[in-house]
Amino acid sequence: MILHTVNKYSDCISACMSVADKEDAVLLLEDGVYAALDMDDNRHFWASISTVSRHYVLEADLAARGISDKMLARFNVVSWQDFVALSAESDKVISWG
Amino acid sequence: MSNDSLVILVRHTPYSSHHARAAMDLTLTAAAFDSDVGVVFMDEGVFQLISGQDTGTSGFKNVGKMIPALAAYDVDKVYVHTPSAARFSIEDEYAMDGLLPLDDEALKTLVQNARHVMVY
Repeated sequence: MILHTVNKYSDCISACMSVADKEDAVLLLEDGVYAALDMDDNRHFWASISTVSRHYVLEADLAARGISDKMLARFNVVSWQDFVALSAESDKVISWG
Repeated sequence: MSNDSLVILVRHTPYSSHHARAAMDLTLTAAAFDSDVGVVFMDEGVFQLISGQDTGTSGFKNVGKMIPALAAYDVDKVYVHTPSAARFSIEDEYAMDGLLPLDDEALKTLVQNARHVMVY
């Protein structure tokens, strides 16, 4: 299982999804958290993605941007400690940005 | 690929940021330590492969000249993501021969099987 971290809100998310596998997990960080925002573009994007079974978003980065209560339902909010645990249980971590 | 393989994905244009140079530095460093290293040019990163780059007095090192030199450092796995090259119509303008073509499926397999993946 690969943990894909995404720290920008750009086409790097598409690139990430195109090489991801069904068992992989994605964790949105920094400006990447905007991809979890409940809005049309994001809703359509994630609906079109058949890879990646687990979706996470970092609590601190959501809070910093004031969007903690505006997320798509598929995303699970995680702490820094959860981030460490996710990294440790993954075969490898790929940082996209 | 071996257990200790490293795949470097290059996704940015050559002179917009430090990414291209950093990718090249990592590639050469990995090769110096006899890593099983592969470099993939994809998305806007394919612009790094174009022949005739002339950085002149811009202060940038010419990436178009560094890439063909990779073979001299035992980096023989230099891939181009063909759908990206097709998107920008640069398939006939590569600065080097011997680029290994990768389609979407082959790229995914390469990334999934590598021990380490770095994205620039």
